[in-house]
Order: sequence, then C-alpha cells, then structure tokens
Amino acid sequence: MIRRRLIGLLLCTAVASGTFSMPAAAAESYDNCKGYIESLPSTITTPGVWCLRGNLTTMMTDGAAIRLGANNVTLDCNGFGITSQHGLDTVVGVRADAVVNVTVRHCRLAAFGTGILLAGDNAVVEDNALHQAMVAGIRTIGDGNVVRRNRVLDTGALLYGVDTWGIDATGQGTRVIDNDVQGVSGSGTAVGLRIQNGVAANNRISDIRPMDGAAVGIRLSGTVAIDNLILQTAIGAAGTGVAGDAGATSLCRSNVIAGFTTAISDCTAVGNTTHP
Amino acid sequence: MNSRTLAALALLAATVSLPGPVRAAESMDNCEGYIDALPATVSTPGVWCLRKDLSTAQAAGAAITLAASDITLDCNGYKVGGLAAGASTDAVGVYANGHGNLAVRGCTVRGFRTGIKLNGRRTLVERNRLDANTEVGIRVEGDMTIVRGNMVNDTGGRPDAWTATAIMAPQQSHVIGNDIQGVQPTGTGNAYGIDLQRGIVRGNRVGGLLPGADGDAMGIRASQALIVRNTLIQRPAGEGMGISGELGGIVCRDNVVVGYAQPQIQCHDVVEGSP
Repeated sequence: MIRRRLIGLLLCTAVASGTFSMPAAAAESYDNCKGYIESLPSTITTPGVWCLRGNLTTMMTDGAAIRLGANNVTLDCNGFGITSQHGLDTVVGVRADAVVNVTVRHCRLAAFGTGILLAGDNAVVEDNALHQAMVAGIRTIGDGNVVRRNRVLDTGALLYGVDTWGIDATGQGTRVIDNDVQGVSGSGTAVGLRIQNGVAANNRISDIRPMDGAAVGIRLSGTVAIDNLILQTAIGAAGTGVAGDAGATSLCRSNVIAGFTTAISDCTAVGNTTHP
Repeated sequence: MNSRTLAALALLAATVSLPGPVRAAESMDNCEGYIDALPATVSTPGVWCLRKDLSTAQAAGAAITLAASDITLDCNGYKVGGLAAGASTDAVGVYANGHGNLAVRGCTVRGFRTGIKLNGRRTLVERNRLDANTEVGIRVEGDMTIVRGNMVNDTGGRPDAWTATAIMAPQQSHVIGNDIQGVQPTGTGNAYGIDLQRGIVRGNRVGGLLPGADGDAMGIRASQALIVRNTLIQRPAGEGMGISGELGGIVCRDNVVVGYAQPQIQCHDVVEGSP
C-alpha cells in the first residue's frame, strides 16, 4: 500500500511540476515537409505538411497571408516569422474556413489583425508565438479544437471601442491548455482568454490593460477552468479574473487569481486562491 | 500478478500516456546563419546557430551580442565559454539591449559575469544550460518575457559581488519550469534562486543556495507575482526564506519548501472552499 501511494505521489508530482509538458527540445528539421511556402499570400490546397524555410513579410491590406484551403493540412513554420508590414486589423496571418483536421505550429506571427483564425473542427494550434495582434492572437471556431503551448504577447491596438482577445476559442470540446498570454490592451474590453463549451487548463495570463473598457482574465461559458494562473499587473486597471456567463454553468477549480477587483463571477468556484 | 508488478505497469502506462517531450536529434535546417567565432555580433533578424563549441578569454563586453530585433539564437546544445577570463570577468555571454522579439535557446553558457542578459520586450529564454557564471545566470529586462526550461547551475564566485542570483526578471515575466542548483556569492550577501517583479513563477525547482556570512538564502524573492508549484529544497537546513514576498503583492500556492527557517513570508496562500 505504501509503495502504491509513493508511486501515485511521484506521478502527481511529475505532472504537477510540468515534467511531462515541456516543448520539443531540438532545432527544427525539414525532413517531413511536403512542400514550402516561399511567398505571400499563399493558399494550400493539398493535404500534408507544408513548411516555411525563411521569414516572410506581406504588404497586404486585407485577406489572409496564408490560407489553409484543404482538410488535413499542417503548417509548420519551423520557427520562422510572418509579419504584416501595414499592421492593419483587416489582415489575418493564417486562416482556414470550413476545413477540418488542420494544424498550425512553430509559427511567429506579428502585427496582424488576427494572428491565426481557424474555422473548422479538430484543429490544433500549438507552439506558436503571436506578437502584437491588433484584435486577437488566436481564434478557433469549431468542435474538438486544441490550442496549446502558444505564446500570445502584446495583443491589442487602440481601435476605438473594439474588444480584444489573446485567445478566443469557441466550440464543443475545445481545449485551451498551457498557453502564456502576456499583455492584452485595447479601448474596449480586453480579455486574456475567451472560451465557450470547453476546458481551459494550466494557462498563465498576465497584464490585461484596457485603456477605457474592462479587463477580464478568462471569460467563459459552459467551461471548466482549472489550474490557470491569472495576474493583473496593470496599475489601476479594474476588472474580473474569471467571468462566467450567468446562463451557462461553468466550473472554476484550483485557479490562482490576483490583482482584479472581482476574482470570479458567475462560475461555480471550488478551491481557488484569490487576492485583490 | 503481484502488487509490485501492477504498480510498475501502472507507472509505465501512465508515463506512456502522458504527452511527453520530443527528444529529436538536433537539426540545422532552419539556421539562416552561423556563429563560428567569438566575440560575435548578430545584426540581421533570423535564426542564427552554433555548430561547434566556442570560447573566449575576453574579460569585458559580450561574447555574442544580438543587435537587432527578431533574432533567434539557437546554439544547438553547443557551448559559449568564458571561463578563461577568470572569476573577475566583466563579460556577458549573450547580450542584447533595446531589441524585442528575441529568443535564446539550446545554449550552454559558462563562466561569464552574467550568462544571458537581455533587455527588450517579448523575449524568450528557453532550454539553455548556464554553468559557473559568476554573478547572475539569466537576467531579462522588459515586459512580456518568458524564461522556461533552463538549467542554471553553480552561479557565483565573483570576488567583489555581494550577492549572486540564478534568474533575475525585474519586469513583467513568466518564469516556468527551470532547474536551479547552486548559488553561492563570494561576498557576504544573499543567494537568490529567482528574483522577480510582476509575473508568474511556476514549476521551478531550486536548491543549493549558500549565502554569505551576513546574507540569507532566498529561493524565490518576488513582488506582484503568483508563485505556484515550485519545489524549494535547502540542504543543509538553515537560515533563509523559501519564498519572500517582503516587497508586497504575492500569492503562493502548492509550493514545496523544505529546509528553510522561514518557508514563506508575506505571501497570501488561502485556498477558498474544498478543492
């Protein structure tokens, strides 16, 4: 019995300490690339792994820099960046509409209106860095999507009255896991993570700093929020750490929330640690 | 099947089913340029790599300077060595000042006054190994930085340094999953594992802090921060603070603190309701 308990404790400790959740350790390889994206804009219409092998920039004023136009497409940027030179809110970095089983990974996207916008089921968005998106870093719309291990930094521009989101994920069974969201601003409501009908686990969100509107760490509806760390470091920015929807039951468990005027609202709260 | 076999199978099954890290061999495919000698200055954005161990005896300046934004330095596990300059060196291993969107990964940085010192927004320091740097292992200054998965060993030894610190993050940062072992100032002051203002400190493991005669060991010193699920072990047990929130505004939860006279001070740690 003692041995069994010890093994259980070791497993729990390993999981809790992040032993099993570190990102890939090696530099990128092109071995599994089916083809390459060399210029923008670009549309992928054939399933497979499509890669970048250099940084790309675009002067587009609307549309998408890369469009995933088929099911079962993986875009692997191999750590390279895609930058919008104009910094307009009408340009999307990577976009997919009505396709399934797409993956976007290892991309650095800077200064788009929305960095990654995927509409379709079973999408994976992982290990990307989103810098200075004007409206949203990552948006997914569809069932069974997974958003994990991304860095979403410095989201939001001073577009009058526009709400901004670090990550916005909607759909049954959506999972948003182990992301870092740092710095969300804007003149409307600034939200670190918005999620509906899914699970938000082990995300780290800090520095939500709207100019005029409210700050929200996580806005959720019909969702389980567990083990998230939410810190408001912006001086004088009122807001809510986790804001639920009164019409859809959500569960908030084991989250740590500090610096907001309201820690949790409209969410069944169990075992959280909060501090004003 | 006895209980031992069952337990072993359970452990194996759990390990296999967990999302483990990928441990592929290193690849140079995405390297846009190489650093083959020190000192070096990188002034073009892109992915810059090492393809062999490099060393320098310089006692001032920086071995590698990142002089533009949007640079990734990927050392592919190779070394940037500065031991030859001695314990009094003023040199920095990897340095940037005023540039954003930088990443430094996969580097072994050894024997500098500060191993990695980056001043700029949105920087990432990950999966590096810092050995025997004489005052500070990693120092990041600038909002929205992330320091994760680094190993920082044996920091300290500079003759005139009052303190030694493994990881310093004086602005808004997330410090996640780092291993720190051995911090020992030569002077009489404090030994800090992690020193952070405004940010999140999660899942780090800190041990082996040996302060000077008039100093304290502090596993984590922070203000305006969330300190969660860190493991702080001090052997032999003695004076010092596992987690110090003396500067205000920190929240602690689920940390394991062993061997410190004061496990935590000025840290809000109330769990509300039954978990």
